[in-house]
Amino acid sequence: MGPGSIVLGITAFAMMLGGILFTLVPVLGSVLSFGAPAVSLAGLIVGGIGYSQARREMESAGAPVAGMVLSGVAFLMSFAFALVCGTCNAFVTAVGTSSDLSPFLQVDTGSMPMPAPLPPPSSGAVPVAPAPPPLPPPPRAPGLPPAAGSSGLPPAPAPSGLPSAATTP
Amino acid sequence: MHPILTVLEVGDVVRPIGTYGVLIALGIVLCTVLTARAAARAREDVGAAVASVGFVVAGGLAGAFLLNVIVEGFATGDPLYGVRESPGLVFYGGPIGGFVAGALTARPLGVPFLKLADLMVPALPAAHAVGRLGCFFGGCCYGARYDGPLSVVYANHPFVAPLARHPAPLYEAALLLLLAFALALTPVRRAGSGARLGLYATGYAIIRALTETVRGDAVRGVWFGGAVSTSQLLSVGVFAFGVVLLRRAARAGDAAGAARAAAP
Repeated sequence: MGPGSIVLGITAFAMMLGGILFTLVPVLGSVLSFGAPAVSLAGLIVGGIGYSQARREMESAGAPVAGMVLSGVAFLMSFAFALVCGTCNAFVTAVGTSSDLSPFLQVDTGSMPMPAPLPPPSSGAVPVAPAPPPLPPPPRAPGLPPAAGSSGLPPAPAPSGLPSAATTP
Repeated sequence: MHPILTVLEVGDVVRPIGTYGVLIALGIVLCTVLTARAAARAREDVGAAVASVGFVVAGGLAGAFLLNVIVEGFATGDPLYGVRESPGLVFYGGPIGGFVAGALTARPLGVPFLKLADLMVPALPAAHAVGRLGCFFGGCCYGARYDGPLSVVYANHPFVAPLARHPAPLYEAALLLLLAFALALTPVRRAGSGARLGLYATGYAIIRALTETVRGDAVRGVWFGGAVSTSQLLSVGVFAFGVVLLRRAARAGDAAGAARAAAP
């Protein structure tokens, strides 16, 4: 029981460090951050049982005591970090899994599935998402030439000397 | 208010360390150390006591989380709202969950639960007082508006107006420390009768019901048009539980006294 307690205490430390480093990776950061205090509590319990057994059987209680102290310190630190890094990661996870947020908010969410990015305008590829309906052209002062592409379509070259379609009454 | 205790920098990784979390964790570790010491002084199995504290803490954290889920579920009508949208901890779930976990694991650990609880109980309000300091520094559980002596202003709180308020967490911390001293000074002539646990339950129920009247945060849940808070409702049940334990201990004391008187 004593060595098991030490292993659990060290595991809790490792998970805590993982939680700190992977705060911005959805789900993984939460699992590590909130799992570390749970593992350290398990180390405390196992260490206590080991200490009890060692005293009953008149054996050395060094390992269980070491495990209990290690797990206690690991709990102290990992709980404090869980309330910072774990909470932060829960927020990051919520942002990453929410479908009604802008893709720009989901860009930094690591390995979460994200909507396919829109291609750059110059690539000529067809976007995955349907294009929104074109906006109506803004009112213009009479006599001005039509704005290029204002109807959402490529501008058609107007024959010289003829009025464009937009200005035809 | 001092929500960030320090900032940890490891290479490019920068993480703030919250005062709230550090003080809550310190309170739990303090509770473990005091319980182990009390168990050693009472010549009880220290290892089993530490293991039992581990189960009690785990059950307490689970209970505090579950009670938050239940309260949020009642308030919003969505049973999973407290998991998805508003996860958190409600203190009263802690002792309830801890008590259940301790009672369930006492027999496998081979410890008399009520005796251990009587030994552990002075550590609970002491640890809770440290946790309340964490609330004060973190800016939660703030008090109602009040412009008299001892009032405080949360100058840089992100949600609370910078007005003079009751230092509600400090009131509770002071009263909890008094309760801890009172429990520590209560003689344990019949440890295991549940007398100290009963005193703690009744004492804390009164403290909580009183300090709730100076709280200013409605997020903890208020009922009947704001007349009663969730914790005040729970205090009634905890007080009744404490009275039951005290009466049981008194009856056990009477029986023990009668047995001593009848003995030749």
